[in-house]
Amino acid sequence: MNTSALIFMITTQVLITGVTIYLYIKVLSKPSKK
Amino acid sequence: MKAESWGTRLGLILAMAGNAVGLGNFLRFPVQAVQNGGGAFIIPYLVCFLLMGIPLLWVEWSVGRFGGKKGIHSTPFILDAMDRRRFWKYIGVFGIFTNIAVASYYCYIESWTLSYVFHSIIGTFRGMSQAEVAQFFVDYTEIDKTTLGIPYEAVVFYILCLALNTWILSRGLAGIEKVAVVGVPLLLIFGAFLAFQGLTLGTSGATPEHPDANSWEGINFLWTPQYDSLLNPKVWLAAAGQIFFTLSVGMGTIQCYASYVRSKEDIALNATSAGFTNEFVEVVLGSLIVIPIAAGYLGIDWVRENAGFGMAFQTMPYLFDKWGALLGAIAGVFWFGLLFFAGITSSLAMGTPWVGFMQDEFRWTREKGALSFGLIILAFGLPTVLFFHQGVFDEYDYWGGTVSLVIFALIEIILFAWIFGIDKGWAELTEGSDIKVPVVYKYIIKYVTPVLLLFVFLGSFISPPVEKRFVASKSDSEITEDLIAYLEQNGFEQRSTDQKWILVASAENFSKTFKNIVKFEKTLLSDFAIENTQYSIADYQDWKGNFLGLFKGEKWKLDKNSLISKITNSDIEDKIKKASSEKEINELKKQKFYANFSRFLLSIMFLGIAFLVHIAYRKRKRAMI
Repeated sequence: MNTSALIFMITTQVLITGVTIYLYIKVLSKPSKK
Repeated sequence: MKAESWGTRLGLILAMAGNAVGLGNFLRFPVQAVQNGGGAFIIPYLVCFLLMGIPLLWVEWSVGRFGGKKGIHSTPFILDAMDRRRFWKYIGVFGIFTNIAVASYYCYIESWTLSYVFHSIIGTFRGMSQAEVAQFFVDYTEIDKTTLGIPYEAVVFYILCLALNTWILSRGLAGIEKVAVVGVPLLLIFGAFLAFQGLTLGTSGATPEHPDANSWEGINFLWTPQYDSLLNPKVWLAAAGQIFFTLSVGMGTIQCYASYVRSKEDIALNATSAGFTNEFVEVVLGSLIVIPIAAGYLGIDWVRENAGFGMAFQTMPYLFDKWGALLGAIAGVFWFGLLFFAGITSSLAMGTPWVGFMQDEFRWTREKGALSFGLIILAFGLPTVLFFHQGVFDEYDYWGGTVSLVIFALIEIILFAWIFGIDKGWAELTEGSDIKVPVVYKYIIKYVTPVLLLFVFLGSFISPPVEKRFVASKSDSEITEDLIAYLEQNGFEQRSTDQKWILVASAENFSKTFKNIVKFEKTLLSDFAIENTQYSIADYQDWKGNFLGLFKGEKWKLDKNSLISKITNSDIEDKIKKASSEKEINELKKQKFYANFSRFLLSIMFLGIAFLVHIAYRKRKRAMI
């Protein structure tokens, strides 16, 4: 696999996975408002 | 009637994510990326996600919760509540119509996935060749054939699927939430398993038939950035379109789900979480399954020539079978299982606007609303099942699943930002918010997103014909005059500049001589010793040339898939004119009949819902007196 494709793929996927996990941590740490 | 609301925050987010995640995450995204610049497609894709996707999600969630505060759970009267002009409730009809139109054929696809889970378990595809697997699908959709000994098997599974959707809908939000809380995590686990296979397959799948097969080549092709594609408007249009469809905006489902969010509950964080869940499934999982696994057994050239929706059913079972009886069966169950969960979480969302509308306006029970939804989908959906090969499915998909969404989303954002007012809209969005929404988004929602949506709309409405554009540098001495002359003799026209060779061919001329891009590349390599790294060949729509042509008195050239061409059936009419045999003409006339028949059914659907909205409006007026 060529380097630019690998860098592109890893960067994008880590970014999206990271943001998604961060958002879920935030959601789960805040209770629903009644 | 006690107001329903979501049980848990996580349940709401997973239900919304389930609504968005569908077959397109696994089948449409990778194909769009492959066809539009590989890794470089990700750049316009992410830009459009931030400037169009997220804003639209926020707008639709806000509109939904705003309606929910007033006890309204579907778009006709939500829009009606946003502005005093009476026509808005009829615009809101789109938010129910689109769901019924799409659910009519979507539930059919869902039933295929259910059936294929079953076939994977019983080992139907063991030992089948690729052609046999593809033929199995054709036979399955020829409904009068049976693969399990059940007569009209495809219809049976369809009704089963509809019954399941109806039953879950009758349980209300609690039922939908349960399906999402179980289905979405399972979908993620199944997807992760298959993505791992795609990542690790490598060259182990190569055979004498496909000696160059390599899953890493598939990943390479998908992710290698081709930066010059960023200058191609078609790529931006494709990226904007993909973001639009993947998030399920413009349908009315998000507004409906959000209308059950409690008035003090956060919208911004919830919506962003649901949106990113969709992106995780699409970009992280979706890109690592179909393309790499297919490339790992059939080679990247095969994938480039054949990648499309059909691969899900006509190719993947053949590939899974290579993993042996047990692992192949598990892979099949996981693949069709994840497609089934992706499908059912979406189809349940499509049912809720109708159920919500009938509960709100006619005091129907949930059970009655759900049953009526099932029956309506059966009535409008059976033509897509019975006349699948005659194009009814495709017509529903075009008008309900493409045109309708874009029109509604464009009107809705103008209503939200310009008529309801961005200040009120912003207040609605940020009320109860658990994140600080960047203030710049106030201006993005008002000015940028509508322009992008207009771009998507015009792109489909009046798009110029798709052409093939060849570009090479004049400083490359291996690109000879002989090659240029050869291209000109085979359908290409020169549009060269001082520095670059630029030649363009119509899609029709190109496919006559070269069939597809892979064969074009092979021809240039074998006949002229030119590598595909020495030039670019891509789909292109000449917006600039078309526009300048208007000033020269030329007519605007339309792509055969543009909205205007579709309305006038110009593609079929052209083919009828060029047809040589009586049989061919009759086939084309039959095609035209089914296209018009589908449009007639969809018109009845829209007008029927508009009529119900009108009756509901009169009831409301009487109640006020």
